[in-house]
Amino acid sequence: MKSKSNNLKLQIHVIPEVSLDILMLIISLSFALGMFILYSEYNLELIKNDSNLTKIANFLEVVLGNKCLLYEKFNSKGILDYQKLSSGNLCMNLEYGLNFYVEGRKEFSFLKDCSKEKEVVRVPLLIAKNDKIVEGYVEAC
Amino acid sequence: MKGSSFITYLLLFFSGIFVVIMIYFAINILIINIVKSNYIASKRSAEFFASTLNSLFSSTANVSFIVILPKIDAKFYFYEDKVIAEIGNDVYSEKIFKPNYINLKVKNNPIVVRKEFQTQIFITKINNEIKIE
Repeated sequence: MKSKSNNLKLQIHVIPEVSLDILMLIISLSFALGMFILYSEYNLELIKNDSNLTKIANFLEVVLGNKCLLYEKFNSKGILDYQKLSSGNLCMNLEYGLNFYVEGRKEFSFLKDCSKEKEVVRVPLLIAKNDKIVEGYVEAC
Repeated sequence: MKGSSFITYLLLFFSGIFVVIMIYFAINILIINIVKSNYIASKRSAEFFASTLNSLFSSTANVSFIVILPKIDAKFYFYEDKVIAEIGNDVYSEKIFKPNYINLKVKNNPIVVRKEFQTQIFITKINNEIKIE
């Protein structure tokens, strides 16, 4: 009976200490990880934002409202004229590649092909083709 | 007991790393907020003007609005293909994509902003002409 009670005492003494250590380890690790995530997001947002996506989005916005491409009947941003697109006169310097898809098919490509690029912005638009409005989208990279 | 002491040493090791990481983060955040504050401000303002102008280039409507700038020492350059913001010694340039048919007219280029008084920038778009003054 005595030996059993000694074993019990030993168990009670050892188990909480180890579990406390493990708990402290987990808390400190999660705190360090949390700090790292916070720091990396903070840093990313303010300084290391070297992504081209904002510039590409700005470029696409100008393309979508470009008077040399707009369908004159509506004169509204995002509705482009098929004939003007096929003429290829965009009235602006092309900084990024542009690919126009009409009804799911790639019809016009300017500067470069975007299918192999990592940073691609895709925007849906309407295209007036033979006085009919069809759907399509544009990719810029 | 051996297991317990091993975990304690492990904990000490990680806490040491943790302290080093904390010091590194704190120094970096201080550098970002104090040393690079002008750089961040110039980047933000250049991006703001570039995105505003790009929106105006693509707009079919005639609009006019006023930008009220904070009281800082800064210079803003507007060119045909880029906007440059200079705050302190930090300069940041952002691309703009101007179509050929739009005339960009800037009165007093660069626009100088002084700390002493409030500066306002008037931006007006009438058909194919954009005035910044």
